[in-house]
Amino acid sequence: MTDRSLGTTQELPEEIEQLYRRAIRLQWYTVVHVAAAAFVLFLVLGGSQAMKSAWLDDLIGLVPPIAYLVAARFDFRDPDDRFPYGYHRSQSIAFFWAALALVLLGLFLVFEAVLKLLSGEHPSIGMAELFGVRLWLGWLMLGALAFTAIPQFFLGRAKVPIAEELNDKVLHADADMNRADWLAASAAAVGVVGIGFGIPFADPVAALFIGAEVLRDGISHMRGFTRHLMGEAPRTVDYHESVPVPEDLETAATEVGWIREARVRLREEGRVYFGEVFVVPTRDEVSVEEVDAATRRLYDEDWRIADLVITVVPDLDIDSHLRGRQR
Amino acid sequence: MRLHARALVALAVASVVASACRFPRDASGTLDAVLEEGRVLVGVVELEPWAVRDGGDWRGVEVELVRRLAEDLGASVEWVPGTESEVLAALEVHAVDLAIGGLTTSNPWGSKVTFTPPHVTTTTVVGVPAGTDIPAELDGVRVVVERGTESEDALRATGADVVPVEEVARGDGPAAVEDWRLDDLGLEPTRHRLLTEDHVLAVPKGENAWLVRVEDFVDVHRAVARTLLEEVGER
Repeated sequence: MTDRSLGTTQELPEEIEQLYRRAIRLQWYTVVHVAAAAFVLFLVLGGSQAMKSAWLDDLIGLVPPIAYLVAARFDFRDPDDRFPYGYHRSQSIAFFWAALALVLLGLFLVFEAVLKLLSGEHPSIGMAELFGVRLWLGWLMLGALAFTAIPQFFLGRAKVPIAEELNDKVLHADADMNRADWLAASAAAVGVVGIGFGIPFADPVAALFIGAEVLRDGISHMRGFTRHLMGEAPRTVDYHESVPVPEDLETAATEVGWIREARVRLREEGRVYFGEVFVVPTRDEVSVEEVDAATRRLYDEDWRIADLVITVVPDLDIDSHLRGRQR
Repeated sequence: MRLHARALVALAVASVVASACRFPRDASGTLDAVLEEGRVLVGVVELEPWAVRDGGDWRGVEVELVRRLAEDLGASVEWVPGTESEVLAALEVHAVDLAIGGLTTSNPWGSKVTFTPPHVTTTTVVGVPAGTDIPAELDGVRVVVERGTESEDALRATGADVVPVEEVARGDGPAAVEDWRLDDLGLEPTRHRLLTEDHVLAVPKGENAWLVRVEDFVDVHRAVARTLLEEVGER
């Protein structure tokens, strides 16, 4: 049985804590990679307009991992007098920034693609010199884009399963940012190849597809964040399904001898769950020890439960929602 | 959508590999047209020493470079003279294949046409007659400069006593001129460099094969361009 008192930060299970450390490491890799990619793009493209866009992409791509790393410093701090519910919502704030970054990147890509399409611009790519060898600058650009895209692809893939295990919406949104980045780099590569084939509109058309895709992801995360802020009951990190933790807790509660009926309401605070358990006892008197033991038992149901209060009530008619849950 | 993106990338990569031999290409086939028709249409802006009308013909550093390029391509040159904005506007809509005549990288048309890398870089310096003392500072020093040029503005910023003239001539005393004219004017360079200009040729946008062909030509003709310029200076 885990030792804890009300509202105190829980001890994380060992494997969860390891995963969390791994996630933080991945975020550091991401920051370093994005910085390196920006530098390589700078070397290849110099101060061109394409360069400025690529830099803005990178800058936006840095927002989720940085927000993540900042939030990770607060996440499991103990509650104090100023923040009596703890610091778990630092994750919610990071989630907001990650979702916002995706929306902005999507808007930026779409806007830029439309502008390019309307201007009917026909960019040309000439020769470059690398270590004394003359070659088409397009090959260098493709190399630089591959350097950007390939690690992003693997970083994003590595993050998704961890995000699911950790119930980590920020990491999940950030994995989508990695996906957005490698897709955007692929669109740029299609653009370079298109220019090379004398098909200048390949660039904005590819960018438009990718931009729309990123914008869609961003809006989906922004909606997720809004619902999160509204105190939505627990859902999976991709928001597709509800998580049956309240039902599980109710089942566990009714297995306690003195509890006849139980209703649970939970909301997500960052990656963890806060909530109340309303229980109807089978008898008129319940001891302090019994309530405490039941609380500890319920905490052990799921590591994501960070703050749970048992309230003993005469019946469940006090609230239409509590009365009405369909089992 | 996810599938679309991947398919696009795969398609692009596959087609590059399949035809890497004819890559990059022109958006509207300039290089092919030049080779087929055996003719290059060259927009030319008259500007000493780069392109100068000489009777019914043209001479100058860039004129000579273009003649050699055409020779390499087995083509003849058809000159289309005009003002700088006429010539570059014609290049933008691809009415000519190439534009020359003292164009530099600082030209504001750079976003509408494509400039090659520089074939010659010139530096405007303050020169003094051979054997005279070289002033450490230009403050109050009388320096001759061609009227209405960028050099004149740059010279004024140094605090020199600027004397604008129509044309700098031998015996004018200290003068701000491009480096290749120093010998001709009997001047020695000082450390007072006013501005540097990268001289380029211009091609239409989107014509990658043509651009690459011209860039390759420029790359191996830098020494030739410099020599041509020095020869003009000696004349």
